[in-house]
Amino acid sequence: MHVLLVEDNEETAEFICRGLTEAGEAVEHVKDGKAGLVAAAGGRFDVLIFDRLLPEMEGAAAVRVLRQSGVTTPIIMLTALSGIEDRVEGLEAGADDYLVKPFAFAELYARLRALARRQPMAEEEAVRLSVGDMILDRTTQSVTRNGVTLDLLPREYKILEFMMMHEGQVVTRTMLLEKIWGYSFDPKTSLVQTHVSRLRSKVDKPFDRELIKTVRGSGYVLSAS
Amino acid sequence: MSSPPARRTFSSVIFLRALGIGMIALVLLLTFVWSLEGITRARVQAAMRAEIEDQAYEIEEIYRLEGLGELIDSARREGRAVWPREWLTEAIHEEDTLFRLTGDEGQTLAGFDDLDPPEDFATIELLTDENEIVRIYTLRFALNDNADLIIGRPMPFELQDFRGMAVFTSLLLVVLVLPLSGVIGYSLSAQVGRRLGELSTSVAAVGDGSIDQRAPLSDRDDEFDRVSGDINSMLDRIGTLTRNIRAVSVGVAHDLKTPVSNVGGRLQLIERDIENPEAIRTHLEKADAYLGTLLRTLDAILRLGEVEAGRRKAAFETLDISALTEDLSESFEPVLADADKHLSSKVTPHLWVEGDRDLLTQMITNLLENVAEHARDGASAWVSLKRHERCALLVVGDDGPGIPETFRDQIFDRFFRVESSRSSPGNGLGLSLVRAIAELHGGTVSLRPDQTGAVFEVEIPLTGGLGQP
Repeated sequence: MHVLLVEDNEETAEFICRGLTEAGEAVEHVKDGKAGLVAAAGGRFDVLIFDRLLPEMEGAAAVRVLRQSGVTTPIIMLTALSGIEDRVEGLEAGADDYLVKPFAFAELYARLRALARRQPMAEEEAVRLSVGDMILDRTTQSVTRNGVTLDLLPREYKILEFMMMHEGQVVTRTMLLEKIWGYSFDPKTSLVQTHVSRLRSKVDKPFDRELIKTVRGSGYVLSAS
Repeated sequence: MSSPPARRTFSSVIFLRALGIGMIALVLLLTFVWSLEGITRARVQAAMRAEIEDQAYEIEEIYRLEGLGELIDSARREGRAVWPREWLTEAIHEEDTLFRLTGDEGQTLAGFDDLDPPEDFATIELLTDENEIVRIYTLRFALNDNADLIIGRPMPFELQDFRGMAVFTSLLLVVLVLPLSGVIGYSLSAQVGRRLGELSTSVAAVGDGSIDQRAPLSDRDDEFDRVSGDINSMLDRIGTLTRNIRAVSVGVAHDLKTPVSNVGGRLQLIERDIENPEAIRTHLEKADAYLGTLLRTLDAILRLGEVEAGRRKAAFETLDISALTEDLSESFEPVLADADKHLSSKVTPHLWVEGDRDLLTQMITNLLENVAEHARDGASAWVSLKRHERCALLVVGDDGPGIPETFRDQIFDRFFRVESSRSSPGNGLGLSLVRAIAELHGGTVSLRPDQTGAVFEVEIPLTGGLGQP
């Protein structure tokens, strides 16, 4: 994965660069909006990370220019601004995802991988998703594993569908809160954990092989291996 | 720089107004006095003229019937047709008619020689032998080509004095009214200035920081006392708010300090267990959880600020609060079940409100999390949504243990926690956010009284009062 990081804060940049390098990803770092725009327009990246408040050119403005010039590379925007409006503005500018500082590296990495590996047409519109012996049929909204139909609640179905679309990738708690529940805040209670654990008791418990695994400190992975 | 008190009193509005009113009163009074004088004079003159004309007519009758000689004879008194001046005083005192008959060369034929008006109808002044000035109305007319008759009536003494009185009254008014209004103005202004001065001193003292200072109150219950009373209630309110802010600051500091010191504690444990990766991992996870608490508190503070600033109102949409409530109670049913609470829900479908989906989600979530945290183990909890007049009425309740009556008014205050030890999780902002969000939507939130558990009621106005999009 080839990542462009546009971030003026040294501390944050070092934290992200180090994390990405250790994960074996290639990262290029520039410190202001204009430089970021120029580098991104080159189009050699799998995913772009733009800070919201940047010198020379504001992050959201740079993203807007990129999108208007036809650059489709996935963009994740980082910000210290946590207001709902700030989030809306960032997404309206053309960012694909929005992450509020401070965040765990695992959270950012999970989102980067989700964005970089996205195959919009194939995955998002496929009628049938399958992982190992589990098959999800979108037309009937039914899930079978090893031929056995699983009795899922609508929300459990949605969680499973999201995980299957990101097979092999870490799906974080916050990603689920945002995508499944539409939450823009962090609830105190273990909402996600409770629902995932119920889902697991239906998806994995009756079978001898676990498909959903917990990734300590970051989230869950659904994979056949 | 403030001017000295006396100068301030003179330049005060009240003083200048009093002086102005004095001037106006003076002008009105003078106009009145002189109009009265003028009207009276005109009426008396008209009456006397009529009287004189009557007598002239009588005398003319005598002349016409008897002739000039007889007329002169009839005027003869003590053998004298031409009367001496000494008789004038007496005639005037008896209010007799004065007359003079003149010949063709102006010589006096009969009556008083001094009666010599310049015009046919005139007022003349005569000096009596007692040195009194007497004002006399006169009428001159021709009896025939050679003889003129002049008839005179002394002006009544009352009327003679009238003009003098008018002059005197005017002078008196000028001398009295202006200084009096000045004095009244000054004393009023000084009095008002003193009361206002006291008020301004105490307000200035509050401005300088002594927030407990209050405006002085007398027992007169006058307008100053009312203003002082209003200022005092305002100061009381400000005082309460200030104390609240102080309490909130302490709350913020405390809520932020606890997780930070817990993180610090874990860092020390990591140093101690540096050789034990498994222990370090545990410490890191705990430290991370503490930081999560800290960030949630900060997020809640920021969110509360954002809601209270009202900026979100621009992004309101028409949304189905029934679907939202149903969805959230379904989501939280297993969460509450894990916390040993049984949640049931009863939602009237298709109630629409104008609102912000994110914020309403947070509001309902906070109420449900409140149940998860505070209801007793094994408690029954419920969510209901129905129409109530022009509002959607959301009820989130449990059957115990509830909130002590003494805390009813405080539970929506920021950082208020029933357990003041703050040992259990939570930041005391959840219900503050609920209230702020309800109020942003033009609604209210309240705790239903006399319940075994905590039962919260939120009312949000329905779209168009009907709840249909």
